[in-house]
Amino acid sequence: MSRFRIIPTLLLKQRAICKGIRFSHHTYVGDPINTVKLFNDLNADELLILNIDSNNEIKSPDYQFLQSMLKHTFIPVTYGGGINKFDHAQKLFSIGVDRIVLHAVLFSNASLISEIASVYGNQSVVACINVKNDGYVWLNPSHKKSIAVLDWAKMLEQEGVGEIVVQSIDREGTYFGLDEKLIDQLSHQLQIPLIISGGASSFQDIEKARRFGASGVSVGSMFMYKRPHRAVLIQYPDSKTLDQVFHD
Amino acid sequence: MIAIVDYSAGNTQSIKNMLDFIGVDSIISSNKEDLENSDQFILPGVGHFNHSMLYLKENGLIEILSRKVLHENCPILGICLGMQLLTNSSEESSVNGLGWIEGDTKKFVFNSETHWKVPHTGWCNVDFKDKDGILNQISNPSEFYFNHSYYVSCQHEQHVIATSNYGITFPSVIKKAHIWGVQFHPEKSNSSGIQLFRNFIAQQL
Repeated sequence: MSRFRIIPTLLLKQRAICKGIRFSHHTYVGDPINTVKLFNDLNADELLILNIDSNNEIKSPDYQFLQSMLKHTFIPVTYGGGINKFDHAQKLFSIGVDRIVLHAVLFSNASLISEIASVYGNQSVVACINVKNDGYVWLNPSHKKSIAVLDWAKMLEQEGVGEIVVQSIDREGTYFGLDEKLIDQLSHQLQIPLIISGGASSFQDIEKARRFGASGVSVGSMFMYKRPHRAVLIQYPDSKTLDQVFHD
Repeated sequence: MIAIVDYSAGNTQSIKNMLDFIGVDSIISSNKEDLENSDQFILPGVGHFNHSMLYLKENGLIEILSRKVLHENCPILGICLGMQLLTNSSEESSVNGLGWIEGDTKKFVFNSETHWKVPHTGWCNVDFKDKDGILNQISNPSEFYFNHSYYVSCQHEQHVIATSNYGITFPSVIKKAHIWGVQFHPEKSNSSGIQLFRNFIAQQL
């Protein structure tokens, strides 16, 4: 049996790690190379790195910079941001990214999934879905798509993605807890792993996500700040703590 | 010299990063001359079985690898898909595998009511039957990082060196003489992975 996956999420903006609340108000957290190294040395399960520079700013992933971030990273890395053609994925895999995340491109070209999967396998292709409390898919906090999250998730599974990361826009950075209803709604309808993101505030929240059927959780604020004043402090639970949280 | 065989669908740089960290020379290449000058091989593993076998075939790499591994006894380590390529066949592909370790590659199939999701992704225990060779000085059991939808089924029990469990028990390390395969990704398994590569490097001719 595999362990429940606890994945620090690193948002990359202009070559800096930052963190936001509900997809806005981003503030500086730290240097990317340093932050990645810290999580590596804390034995994090894996990392999710998302470039959130606006689409006008990124024409393609920042390979050179990513490669320098990965040079001393010996844990799995999933990367998303600015990937809209096969060549982008190919280059990312060749520099040491393990899995790639497709997002915006899926609304215009969902067949990119199978194009990449036919060479790199389904397990290498991850889709990201942003959702609000209304249960609909949102491209970003101001652009709603008229499709329900479950329908979109099932469609992407059919296209061949190996995993889905669902980000709750309304919960990001709020410590409101993960959206258990959303996990419950999605996980039983999908054959592929589901990673839930947005709102984690405690190990109890994370444990509940597992119970509701998620395969993992992606965590930002909880591993980057010390509360109540949100002072930056990179942290990750050790295996003893995790054993206590997840004892069966 | 260690050659990380570049068959256009591997995460070659991750393996090179780890070997660089350990401090051994390696080369990422699909160039015949480079492979000729190497005496240890790594078949990396992110890709589709069909595409990868065809690439090896069409670029004449099977011939040279067969000679190096089967006749000159150079050690080889197949990782994930690289391990699966060592078998006779795969349910992912109509193209045959290398057939260097008798067995077949099968897809995980679970009843949709179960909680076993496919692909199998994450850290999973590896139970060793034999601690020698590439598992030397690694605690038994240890967790390694997996990311796969297919697994190997060996014809001969003696080729199974370690197993893992994901709905079913499957071989996670296989070995026949100097030919090794691991279903997990040592290059992404932090300190345990580093030790595994150190052990593989020690398996010289």
